[in-house]
Amino acid sequence: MSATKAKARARSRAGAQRSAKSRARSNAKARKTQVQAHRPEPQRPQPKPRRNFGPGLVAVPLLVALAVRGRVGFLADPDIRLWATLFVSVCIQALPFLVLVVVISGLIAAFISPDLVQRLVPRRTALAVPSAGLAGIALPGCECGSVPIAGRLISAGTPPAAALTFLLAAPAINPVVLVSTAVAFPNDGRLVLARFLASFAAAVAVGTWWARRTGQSLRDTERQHQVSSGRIASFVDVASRDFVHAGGYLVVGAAAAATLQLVVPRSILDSVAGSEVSSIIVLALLAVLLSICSEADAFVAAGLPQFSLTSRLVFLVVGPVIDVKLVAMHAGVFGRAFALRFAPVTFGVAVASAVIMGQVLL
Amino acid sequence: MTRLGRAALLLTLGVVGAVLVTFGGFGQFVQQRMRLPLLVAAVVLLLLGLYEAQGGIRTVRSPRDHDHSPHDHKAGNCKANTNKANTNKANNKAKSGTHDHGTHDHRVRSLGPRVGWLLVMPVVVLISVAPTALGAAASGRVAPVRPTRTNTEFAPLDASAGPIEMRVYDFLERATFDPKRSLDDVPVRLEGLVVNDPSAPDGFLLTRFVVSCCAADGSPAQVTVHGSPQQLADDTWVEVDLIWRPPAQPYSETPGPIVVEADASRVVVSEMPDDPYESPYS
Repeated sequence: MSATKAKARARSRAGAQRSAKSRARSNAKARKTQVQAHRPEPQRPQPKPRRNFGPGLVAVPLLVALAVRGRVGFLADPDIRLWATLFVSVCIQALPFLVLVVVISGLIAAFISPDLVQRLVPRRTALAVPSAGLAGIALPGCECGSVPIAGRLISAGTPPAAALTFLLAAPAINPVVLVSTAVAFPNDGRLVLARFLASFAAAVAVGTWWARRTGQSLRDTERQHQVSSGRIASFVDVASRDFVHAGGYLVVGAAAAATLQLVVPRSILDSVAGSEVSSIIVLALLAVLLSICSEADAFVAAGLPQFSLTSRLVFLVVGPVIDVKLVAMHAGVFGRAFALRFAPVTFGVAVASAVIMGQVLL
Repeated sequence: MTRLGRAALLLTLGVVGAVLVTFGGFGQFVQQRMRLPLLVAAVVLLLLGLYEAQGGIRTVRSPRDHDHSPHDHKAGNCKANTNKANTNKANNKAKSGTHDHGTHDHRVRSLGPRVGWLLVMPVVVLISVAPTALGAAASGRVAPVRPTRTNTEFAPLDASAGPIEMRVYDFLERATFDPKRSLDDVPVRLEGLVVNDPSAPDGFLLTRFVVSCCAADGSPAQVTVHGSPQQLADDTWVEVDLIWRPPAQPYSETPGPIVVEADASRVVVSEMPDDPYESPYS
C-alpha cells in the first residue's frame, strides 16, 4: 500500500472533506481491498477463464472484408456506400484528436500524481468547477477527445465535478471552435460571445449540480493502474488502453451518427422552421442526433438561415456537450448509469443556458 | 484482449492511417489540412503498437509470467516471475499498485474492454465497401450550401485570357452578394460532379461539396447548369465553361433556397481531383 493512498484514506476517514473526491478515493480503496482479500488464495482454479482475444480477432474480420469486397451486391447500394463514407469520415476525423488525447492521458497517468492534482485543483467546489471550465480553453479540438481525458483526470484524483465541467467546456469554448464560429457567422459577432458564455455557463451549472449530488461517484476508471512499473511502460499502457477503450465507443457513436444522418435528412428542416419554440426544440434534438464535430457545427448552423439566431445558438451549445456519439462514449468511460442520468440534465441545462443567453445577447 | 491483440489493433490502424495519407485516400473523407495530424497520429499508433507487440511477444514466450503478473513485462523485466514479484512487493512500494490485482479476469479487462475490437470496423468498412467521396447520393439529403459573407467587395474579373477558373463556392458567393455583378457575361470555368435533377432537364446540377472538417458535415455547393451538350451519368466529374444567368428577381427576394443558374458553353469530362471538396474558409 503506497504512502499516498494511505494518506488519502486517512484524510477521508477523518471526514474533514466530504467532497466527491474523497468519496471516490475511499470507494476505490474499498474495491481494492476486496481484490487484495482474494489474492492470498494459493491456487486459482484455471488461469484462463475467458477466451483470449488475440491478434486473430483483428486479422479475421479484415480477411472477411477482403473476401466480400466487390462480391456482395448490397455493399454497392448507394445508401450503404454513403453510410460507409460518413462513418469512415467521422472515424478518420476523430483519429488524430483521439491519439493526441490518449497521449495527454498517458502523460497524466505517468507524470501527474494524485498529490499534485490535489495541490493544483482548488479545494472548494465553487472555485474548482469554474476554473476547470476555463481550463477547457486550452484543449483545442472537438468533443470526442474530452471524454478519455476527463476519465483520466478523475483517475489521477481530480474531483469528478471539476473533470466533468472540463469535459463539457473544452469542446465548446476552445479557440479553434470559436474561430470557426466567427468564420461561419461573419455578420454575427455576438453569436460567438453568446456561444462562449452559454457553453461556459452550462458547463459550470452541470458541474455544480454534480458536485452537490451526494453519495454518487463515477465508476472509477481503473484507478489502480496509474502507478505502473516505469514511466514509459505506464505511458504506453495507459495511452493504448485509453485509445482502445474510447476508440471502441467512438466507433459506436460514429456508426449511430452516420445512420441518423441518413435517416434524418437535413433537408426536411425547411418544413419545421415555424415558431420559435418548435425551432429551438427541433435544432436541439438535431444537434444530439447528428453528432457533428464541434469544429464544424457552426457551418452547419450557418446553412440553416430559416431558423432564428437563438435556435441556432441552442444547436451550437447543445451539440458539443451532448449527442449520440458522446452518450456512447460516456457510457463506456463512466458507466451506463452515469450516461443515462447525465445526458438529460446536460441537455436541459444547455438548452436553457442557450435560450437565456440568446434573449440577453442576440 | 491480450497485449498482442491490442498491438495488432494499434498497428493495423497505424498502417491504414499511413496508407490513407501516403496515397491521398484520406482526402475523400476529411479536409486536406488533416494530412499532417493524421500522419502524426499514424506514427504514434505504430510506435505504441510496436512497443506493445514487443511486450506481448515476451509475454507469450514466458507463459508463467503471463498468467500471474503481466505488469512485470511493462518494465521490460521479463525475467521476474510471480514469486519474485510477491517477495518484492513488500519492499517496492512504487510497484505495489500494479501487483495487487493479478487476477486474470481483471487483467483482461484492464488491457481494454471488448468494445475496443470495434476499432477494426472502420477498416473493415473501408476494405469491404470501399466508400468514395460524397456524390450524387448525398446531394438530395443535405440542404445546399448558403454562402455567408460580410464584405461585398470583390476583385474585378479579367476574362481576356479565356474562362476564369473559380471554386464553385466562390462563384455562388459572387452571384449572390456582388452588388457590381462582376459575373455578368464573364466566362467562368468550374469543376465539380454531375447530379442529374428534374430542375435541370437540359443539363445537371454542377456540384462540389463544401466540407469544413469531415464528409459528415459536407453540404453541396450547386450551380444549375443548362445547355449541356451530352447526357452525363451521376457522379461524373466535369469541367464546365459557363456564363452566369442572372435571376429574374434578386435572390434575396425569392422565397425558398437560392438557385444559381448558368449556361454551359463547353462540358469536358475530367478526373476526380485530389481534393474533391472545397473548404468554407477562403
